[in-house]
Amino acid sequence: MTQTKPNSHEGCIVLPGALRQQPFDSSEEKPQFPGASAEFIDHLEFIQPNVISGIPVYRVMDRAGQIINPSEDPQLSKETVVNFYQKMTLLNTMDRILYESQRQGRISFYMTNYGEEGTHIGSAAALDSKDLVFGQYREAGVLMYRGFPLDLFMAQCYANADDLGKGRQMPVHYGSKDLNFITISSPLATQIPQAAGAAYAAKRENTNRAVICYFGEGAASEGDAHAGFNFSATLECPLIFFCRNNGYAISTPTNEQYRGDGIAARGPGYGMLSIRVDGNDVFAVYNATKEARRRAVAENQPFLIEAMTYRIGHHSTSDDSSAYRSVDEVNYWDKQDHPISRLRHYMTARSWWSEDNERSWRKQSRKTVMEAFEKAEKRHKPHLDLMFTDVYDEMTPNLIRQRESMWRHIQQYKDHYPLDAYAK
Amino acid sequence: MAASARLLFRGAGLKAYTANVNSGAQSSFGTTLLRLSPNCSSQTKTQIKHASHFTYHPDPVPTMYGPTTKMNLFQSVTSALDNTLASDPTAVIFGEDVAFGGVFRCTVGLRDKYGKDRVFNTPLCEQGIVGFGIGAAAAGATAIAEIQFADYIYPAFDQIVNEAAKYRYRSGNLFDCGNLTIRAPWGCVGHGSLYHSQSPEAFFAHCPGIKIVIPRGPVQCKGLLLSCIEDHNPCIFFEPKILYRAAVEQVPTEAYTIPLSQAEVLQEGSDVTLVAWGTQIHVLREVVSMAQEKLGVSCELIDLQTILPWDTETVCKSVAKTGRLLISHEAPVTGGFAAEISSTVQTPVHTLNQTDSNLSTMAKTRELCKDIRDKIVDQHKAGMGYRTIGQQLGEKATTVGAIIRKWKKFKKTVNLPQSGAPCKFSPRGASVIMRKVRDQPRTIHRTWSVT
Repeated sequence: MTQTKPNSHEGCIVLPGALRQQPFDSSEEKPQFPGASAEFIDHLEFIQPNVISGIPVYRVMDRAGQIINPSEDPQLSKETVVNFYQKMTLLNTMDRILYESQRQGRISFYMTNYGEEGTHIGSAAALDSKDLVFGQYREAGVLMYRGFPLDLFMAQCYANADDLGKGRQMPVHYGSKDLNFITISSPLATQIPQAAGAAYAAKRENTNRAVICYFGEGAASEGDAHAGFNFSATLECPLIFFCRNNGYAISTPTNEQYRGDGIAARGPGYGMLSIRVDGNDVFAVYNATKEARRRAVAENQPFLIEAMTYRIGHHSTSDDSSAYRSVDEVNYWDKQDHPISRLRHYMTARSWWSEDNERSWRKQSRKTVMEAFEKAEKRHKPHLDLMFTDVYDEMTPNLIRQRESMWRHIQQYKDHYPLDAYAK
Repeated sequence: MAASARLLFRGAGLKAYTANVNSGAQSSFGTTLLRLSPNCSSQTKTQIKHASHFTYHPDPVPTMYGPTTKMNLFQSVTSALDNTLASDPTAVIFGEDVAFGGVFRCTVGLRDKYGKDRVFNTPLCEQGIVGFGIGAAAAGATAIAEIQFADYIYPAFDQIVNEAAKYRYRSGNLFDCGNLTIRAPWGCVGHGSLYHSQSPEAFFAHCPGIKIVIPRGPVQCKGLLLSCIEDHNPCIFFEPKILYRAAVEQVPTEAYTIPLSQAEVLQEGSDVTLVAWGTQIHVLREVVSMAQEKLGVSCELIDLQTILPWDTETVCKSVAKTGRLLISHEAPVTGGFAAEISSTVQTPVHTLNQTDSNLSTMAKTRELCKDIRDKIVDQHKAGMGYRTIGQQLGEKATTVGAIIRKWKKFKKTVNLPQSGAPCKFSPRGASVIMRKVRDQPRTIHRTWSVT
């Protein structure tokens, strides 16, 4: 910000309203309000929100996997792209097997990521491994890309003794300190202002670390989302807001969720740089996230990326989406505009991936997932004492008493509390 | 907000007396808010329009924490924050209007001294303030969030209860926000009305995973606030706003801590235990001297200080000694924190595994109450031996054996009416008992069984 010379108003630089510091002068015919920097207008006119031709959707590949504008091709190596494809399909395979396992009563609950694999892999690949990730619940691909082992995915879903979260949460509430992925929590959008705080702390640490915060278009309606956007902009945080706009919040379609032009149009309202991308195009997601990350850290400001995609699966195993949308609609996205098939076309065009590769990879990924699955089923549940630890950093006297009381109760009624399945 | 008092007598058939006392009303035991001339010298006679006055009782000068200087409550907060920002480079303070010094002047001078990246304003959004604080704490910074009034903490309730309190537990200790401290002005100030006077500690007391602390004066405030900041759990620190200027003490300039979850017995007594926190401590101090002077009653006064996790041992031990408990707090009585204290104190002590204080009913000579008899049978079923049971419950092994044999034979633990002396009280018998209770109310089971 520049300082003005005292008693001189020539050469004042006009700054956005929030940053004004020039002295007030009512001889000028310009609004002097501290709240906004603007000109006067003499006729009444409401600004029309533009929802017919809203913010354009950035893409690199068309639906057939062809690059449209070669200068936008990130030109990643074959290993990188094959890795993208394998991670997306491995995620898909794990989703199918765990969804079935819930149907068979082996795990209590599951949420699939069908159709959104591109958003996970593209954004995760554009980040540094030490960047902190705050997710909502449909970002398992980010964790998979970073190398979270299948055993630990399964362990969390089965809530067995191997679970890093000690078996305390519902399935898909993953977390990993080593991979800088903050543990998922069920309340929606609570992670958004937290991400702003973490980004502020990262900025103060000055270690070139960014933070990314994922959420859906439904969660973006929460007050916490507004809080997070506003805080990150005013406090100048190196943060990427990544909205997965997948068309539905359980059964609520977007026209019942908002009337404006999606989430991307809200960014400028907060003074935030925003973009809308084709979420089913891995390279578009990659490019946008990469550039946003670079600038967020360099310029200490937040970025908003709205990735348009489609939720092909049900909201969760407790949902049957045929109750509120047609099978034709789902089939269109599954067959005509799927991130996995688009990337596959791209690779096939360059002869990086053949039918044989596909067959053997599918077989191998199914095998590794099933192995991890069978192993997880056999593991013990966590030790019962873990019900009482970590409420505070150290157990309080009443928690110790309650734990002892529990063991006395179990000892007394041991026929009703079989402990074979639990770790000793 | 009226002060709510809960009054409990031990004995007399295990019934709890509870008396609600509204401000200005008098009860036979008298927890009233008196109209005394205020201690604050800035008040002239014509300005007396507050209904609630109390005399602030300063703590004695502490000698073990180094040199002291005169500070009021808000200055003691500033001092604590100053010490923290000086020693911890990750510490940041944020909230509405903290940059210029805060609406209660708690952060005056800190931005100039430590920089605008460490002491900064946030937008007007409590859920954002606490959410931001949680994220900063989880990322490793010492985050000190200010909520402008405790009355406005509710938008942050979700972040506090669903997120901060559960961060460590739900992540299996991978992540935590122990570096978070939330401060808020709290309690009646006289003119605050509905929305500048609230004491919301009871809402949060129901939430394991956070700590709630309320100081009674500047020395306690600085030490307890520094303990909260140091503590590895998210803490809510409520500052009695009426004491910000009124409470003046000699406060150590260096950093020091006062332990959390340790209630302080401010005055020992023998007839009744008084428990309070924050401003009400000073009200009860007056009650203590009034009770002594007018009723000849000796009161034991306890400052709870930490509401969650609270020091059950100190309070129960005191009530076991005095036999009576009175709790006074500003919040509404239904579901107020006094309800938690009174219910814990009345839980039969053998479930608290304390054998040296016995809060059982006053029963006939040598007859144990049904709860203890059931407990004996339960422990026997669990496989404990007679002697062990006896030791645990403070009964003779032979008594335990007799009860168990009766249970084995009759499948009951109740005592059926015996032939011989009638067990119904005649009016004369009842008045004999009542006279004994009036004269010597602190009868415990053991005195009856002494021959």
